[in-house]
Order: sequence, then structure tokens, then C-alpha cells
Amino acid sequence: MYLIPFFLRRLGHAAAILFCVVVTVVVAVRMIPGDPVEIMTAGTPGITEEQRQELRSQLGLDGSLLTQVVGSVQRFASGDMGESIRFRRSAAEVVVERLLATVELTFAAMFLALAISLPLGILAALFRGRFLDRVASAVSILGVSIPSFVLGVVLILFFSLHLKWFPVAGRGGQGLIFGLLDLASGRGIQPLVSALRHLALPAFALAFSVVAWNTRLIRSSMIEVLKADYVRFARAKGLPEFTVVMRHAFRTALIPTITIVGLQMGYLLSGAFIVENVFAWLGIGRLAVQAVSWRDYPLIQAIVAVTAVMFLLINIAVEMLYQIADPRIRHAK
Amino acid sequence: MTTETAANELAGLPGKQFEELTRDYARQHAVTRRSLLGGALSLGALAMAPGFMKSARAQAGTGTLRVARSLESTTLDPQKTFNLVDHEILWQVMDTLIYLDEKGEVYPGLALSWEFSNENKTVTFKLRPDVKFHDGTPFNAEAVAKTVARHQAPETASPNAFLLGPLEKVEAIDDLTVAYHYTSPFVPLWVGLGYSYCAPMSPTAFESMGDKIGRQPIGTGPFKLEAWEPDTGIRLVRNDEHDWATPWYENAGKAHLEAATYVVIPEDSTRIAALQGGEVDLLAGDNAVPFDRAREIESDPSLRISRQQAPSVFGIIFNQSKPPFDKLEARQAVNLAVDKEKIIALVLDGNGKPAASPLTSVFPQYNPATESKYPFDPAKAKELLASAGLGDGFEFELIIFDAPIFKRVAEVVQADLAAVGIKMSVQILPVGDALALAGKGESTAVALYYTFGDPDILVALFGKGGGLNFCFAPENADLQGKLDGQRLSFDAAERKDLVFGIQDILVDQAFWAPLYEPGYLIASRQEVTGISIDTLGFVHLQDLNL
Repeated sequence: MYLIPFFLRRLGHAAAILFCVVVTVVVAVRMIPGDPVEIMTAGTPGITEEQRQELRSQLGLDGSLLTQVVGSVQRFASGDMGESIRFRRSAAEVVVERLLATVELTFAAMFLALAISLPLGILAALFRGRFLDRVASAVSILGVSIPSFVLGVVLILFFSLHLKWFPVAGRGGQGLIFGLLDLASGRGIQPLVSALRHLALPAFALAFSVVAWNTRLIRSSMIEVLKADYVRFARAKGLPEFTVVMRHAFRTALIPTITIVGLQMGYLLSGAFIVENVFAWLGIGRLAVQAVSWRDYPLIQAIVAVTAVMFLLINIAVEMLYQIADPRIRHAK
Repeated sequence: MTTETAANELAGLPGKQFEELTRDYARQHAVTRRSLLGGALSLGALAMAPGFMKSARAQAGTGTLRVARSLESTTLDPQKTFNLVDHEILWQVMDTLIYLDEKGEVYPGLALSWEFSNENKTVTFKLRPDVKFHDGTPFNAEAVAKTVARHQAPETASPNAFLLGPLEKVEAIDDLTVAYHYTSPFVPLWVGLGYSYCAPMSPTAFESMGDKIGRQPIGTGPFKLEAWEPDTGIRLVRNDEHDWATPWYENAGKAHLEAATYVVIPEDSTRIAALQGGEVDLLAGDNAVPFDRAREIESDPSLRISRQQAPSVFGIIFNQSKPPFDKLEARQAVNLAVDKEKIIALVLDGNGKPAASPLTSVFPQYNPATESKYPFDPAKAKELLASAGLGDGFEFELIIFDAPIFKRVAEVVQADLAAVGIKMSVQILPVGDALALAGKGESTAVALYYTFGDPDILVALFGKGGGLNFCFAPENADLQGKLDGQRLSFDAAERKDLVFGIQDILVDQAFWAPLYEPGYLIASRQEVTGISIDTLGFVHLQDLNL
């Protein structure tokens, strides 16, 4: 398989990038003024400086910057992300516990975004300048101009409070994967339905701006491709219009979309923080902000590392997809 | 008097008299007790208040209360946190040896009685019999001793162990008698013992569970922790064996509620929507109900707002060691130029009152004469500036904490000051950074609010070496003398005189620009009864009902 050496090479790059990311973050977090103990005990009249110092040494925060950085990087290399200073548990455990929530939301949003923007973009291109195209344009303008936190609140007010179709906040359980597992093991469909109902509004709020971009992108690349000679030739051969559009035009038009989807996954991961906040979706976005304000060094490091790994894996996956979709790239070596 | 002679003197006191001294300390001087500083509070850094003010009566009933709050708990290992949102839960799961009410009176808890001996360096507690931990193991003297040993162990790295004081060791004398041996007489002992952070834990549990104890705390309290998942929140269920309560609750028996769940909804609008939609019954805890949304909540007939004035003052602290606030006129001009009523109307939507003194008007020692000193008078502010050679105004930077309320207050202040020619820029910092900077004297002015149950907060705010003294004022023997004096005064009238005098100095010298005194807000559905708000703005479950 032509993809395997490519994958291994990319994995090697990813490991190098990850190492740089970890070193950077380990150093950077210690450059922010204020240490975890100072922040934890800020404004407490009853504690003395000696007691603070003692706590620092008990928490292993009293070494020089260099020893702390070297220690952290060494531990990291051996797979130990350390104990969170605030949660007082393994930082990796805290992150992994919430990672699924963020991953679920991000992927659901991307799925939703593609499910809406692909047909909408194709139809807008086919019916260029007609009513459907105008609708698609309106959706796009709305999508890029409404901030997700405003959209989130509007969705809650209308769909949850007014129509009572969806719950206001939270995940309602352990989420989609466990809902599916419950269904598979015969514990009924209820957990899955609940997970989907809780997921619907936050996923849509997160997806909306991506819908806007992708609809425009797919529309314009479809318009471009539909003008191409080979499409005219396919039509001239007398192929059905559906085959012309989907098999011949769409596949080519999809290539720029795949590229951008990879980048958008990163955007969704970071955008998830705002939506997580609005919908009380306890993922790693909110955790990251808190960890920084607490100066919880091990936790910050774990979050950054895990996010970086995710981002790198998604990018490798996208590059592989790209090769599958476009033979020109595959053979251009 | 040196520390050593003071210790000798305390050692020489008869036990009863020493106990009276410790109780008095708890009543009058507990600096750490109901402390805290607002910014720290609002960002969940720390603090707690055993004090509790009653306002409503509960009726019998059962049900599950669903609470939404703005911040999530980090760990429920009481010895490993110093976080208000953790205390909020621990308070229901753990019992403490003693309880302190809002006046600082000491009440029996897991300890029924106590006695001082060994030159007041030992206090011996008689423990409540027939109490079991949630894991079924008996509560006894050995459990107390093991809990304290763990609290003091370096590997625990407890951020709150300083509350224990100069404690040498704890010795189990017999099954229900336990002795705390201090290296010197420790007057503030009740303060620490009243915190859930120092509550007895099941040794069987913490010895076998390791880190897991932070997810599954085992105490003796009125509620057991049943589950804690990031997504579904914390679920507490009633401990049916807990048929006693400290006397300051209305309900002296088992809790009324069968269970309570705590979920985190960080966004204000969503939290309120969840209450309106009936997904939760109560919005409680720090910043759970924003001031500007109270009116909207009250207009819904199915919802209710409970209010209580907080022992709290929001103000601007001037650094007197740096220009421009080394000049009295500059400080006074800021005091005169800010329209406090406007802040209350625009920022608090009426949920607060103007502050005149750095001391909250909740206390009987509040000096009302301070109210007439700086009326809103921009013309006079300009005159003062001109007389001090600052006729063209001046520029300064105000440090505020990274919280919405601080930003909104700063906007109003900025506009008012601009009208008299003072250009204020704003630097927004996380609370820890802001405090660190202000503490080093590197800032020009810092905005903060404290919440505290006793005028003794003045020592922390204005005393020499006070933990929150960001004024860097020239030495003032009169002020320091009065601050020390009110600590030692056992006579209420005399203490009041001293505290009045302190406020006169602080206001005349414009140490602060006090802006407003906020209130606590709790929002609930009509069905919830028995709501009372403690001195830190929390609701306790013991009296609650549905």
C-alpha cells in the first residue's frame, strides 16, 4: 500500500512537532507571572510566607526554572504527565475524562456542517442565481456573522425554552458512544436518544459558521468544475445529469474542501470552548482556561499535549484522504 | 511584648480563662474565618464561612434538589483543596468537631465537650458516641488522630494545613477522648476546627483509596456523596443515620431532602434558562445569579430571588507610595468624582448600596459619619485638583480582576473620572496576578472587594504587614495603635470607639474610594423552601425542602 510509508513518515514528523510543542509549553507556562501556590492562597490573611514556601516544596514547585523544565520534559518523555495541582489527580486522567466530550462535540459539528453544506453548496452551484442559491447565500452570510455564543443562547431560548424540543444544557449522561454501547448491549435506546437530544443544539451552534464557509467553497469550486471540458464531454456522452454532477464534477470539487476540513477541525476544537461554555458541556476547552488561571502546570501541559496529538492525527488523516481523493497528488512523486 | 513572653503568659492562665480567650478570639478576631477577599471568592480561590444567618423555616418532605452553580469542584479531599466550590460540597458531606455561628460562637459538633490542660498547650475533646462514617466504620478518637496525621504529612501537601496552627500531634486517649497537643497555646484554634478542611475523615477509606478519596470523600455528614461525573455532576444522598445537627440549624434531625445534585452551568444565560425551563431548582453559590438578571427572574411567577446583604465592600485602593496618589487631594478627588448611585443603577441594577467606609455597614462598628464626607461633587473634585497643582488632571492605571462585574464598574468609574480631567486606564488581570502585583506595591491603584464577618478585616487591609494592605501609606502610629487596640479590647463600647476612629482616619485620608456594598442573590423555583444564605453567600442543605 502506497499509504503506509507515507503514514510512518508523517508520524515521525508528528512526534518531532509534539516534542517541540511540549518543551515550548513547559517553558512558557512557567514564564507567566504568579505561581500556583500564590494564586491558590491569594488574599488569605492567615497564611505566612514560610507556610507558602513549605507548600511549594511539598508540591515540587521550589526548584529552579531549569530543573523544573528538565524534570517535566523527562517525565513527559516517559509518558507521565504528572499530577494536577488543583485536582490532585493524574493530569492525564482529568484531561481524558473530558476529552471525549470535546471530541464528540467537534466531530458531531463537523458531520453536521458537511451534511448541510455539501448538498447546499452543490444545489447552489447547479441553480446559480436562482432562489436556492440566494437561500444558500443568506445562510452563509448569517453563518459568518453570528458569533457562536449568541447563536447558542438564541437556540436555547427558542428550541429549549419556547418549543421545549431540546434540553437547555449539559450532556445528559455519558454521551453518544456510551449511548450506542447501551443500545448494543440491550439496555434500550433511551441513553442514545438523550445523548443526541443534548448534542443537537451545541453541535449546530458550533457547526453553523463552518456550514457558511463550506457552502461558499463547494459552490464556487462546483461552478468552476461544471464549466470544465470533461464535464461537458460527460454530458455530451449522454450520461444522466446525476452521474455527471456526483461522479465527475463533485469528486474534483471536493479536493479543496478536504484540505480546508483539516484546518477547520482545529478551528472547531478551539471554537468548542465558547460553545462548551454556553451549553455547560464540560470538555477540555473550559478546563484549559481554568488551568491557565490556576497556573496548574501539569494540567496545562497535559491539555496542550493531548490537543496537539489530536490535531496532528487529524492532519495526517486529512492528508491521507487527500491522496485517496486526488490521484494527481498520489502519483506526483 | 515579645512572642515568647506572650506565650508564657497564656501558659500561665487557668484552663477556663484560656478557653474564654480562645472563644473570644473566635468571636472577635478570626481573621481567616469568614474571610475573604472578593476577587478570590468570585474566582473560587478559597475561603469559607461557618457563619450562617437564618431566614426561613422548612417543612417536612422529601425530594431531590437540583442545584446549578457557576464553577465546578476540583477535588473533594478536604485536606487537598482551598477552594470555595469544594467547601460548598464538603460542608454537606463532612461534620466538623465544632461549629462556629455567624457571631463566632463555638458550638459542639462531633466533639461534645472539651477542656484545656498542660499550660493550655493541650485541649482534650470528648467525642460524640455512636457516629459512623459513610463507609460504616466507627468514628472515634483514633480516626481523628489519623485524620490529623494525614493532614500534617508532607506527602499530603495540604494547602490548608496552616489552619491547624502549632499542632504537635493528636493523641487518642481512649475510644471517645482525643487530645490535641500544641507546641504553644494556640488561641485561634476554633477557626481551623470550624472549617470542613479539618473535618475527620474515615481512615479506612483514605488508607485504602489513595487519590480516589478526592472523588469519593468519606465523612460523617448529613449527606453522602453518591456519584461525581464531569458530565452529570455531583449527586449527594441523605445519610439516614445522621439524626443530629448543630444547633444553629432549624432542623435538628435528619435532612429533609432525600438527595441533591449539583451541576455546573458556566454561562449565565444558560443557567437562568435551565431554571426557567425547570431543569434545575436552585441557582446557588458564587456568582450564580448575575445582578442584572435578578429583575427578569423575579418577574417570572414560578421563580424567586432570595437576597441578603453581604458583609462586603467594593472599592478602589490607592497606592500612596507612588504619584499621583501620594497626594491626598488626588485620592479625595477620585472619591468626589465618582457617582456611586450610577454604579448601583447601571451595574448592580439596584442590588446593593453606596459604600462610604472601607468597613461594611453590616457591622455595629460601622461609622455612619463617613457618609457625608465625599458626596458626588465633580466641581469640588476639580477645585481640589487645582489646589494641589493638578489642575490639568492626571493619568493613572487601575488594576482590576478578570471578572465581568469589575469591568462594568471600571467603565462607569472611567467615564466619571474623565469628566473631571482624570484619565484612568484599566489593566485586567487574573486575581492571583493582580494581588501579587498590588502586594509588591507595583500598581498605582487596584479595585477589589472583600467579604468578611468581622471588623478585624481592617487589620488585614490597613495594618502593618496586613495580607491585603495595598495602600503603602506613610507610617501612622495613631491608626496602627487603634487597629491593635480593637483586637485586644474586650469591651464592646470601647472597641466600637476605636473602630469608629479607624474609619475616620481611613476616610479623611482617603485610603480607599469605597464604591458599593453588594448583596447576595440566590434564585430558586417557588417549590424550594428553607433557603437561608450563609455569610459567604452559600445555601446549606440541612434546612432545605422541596
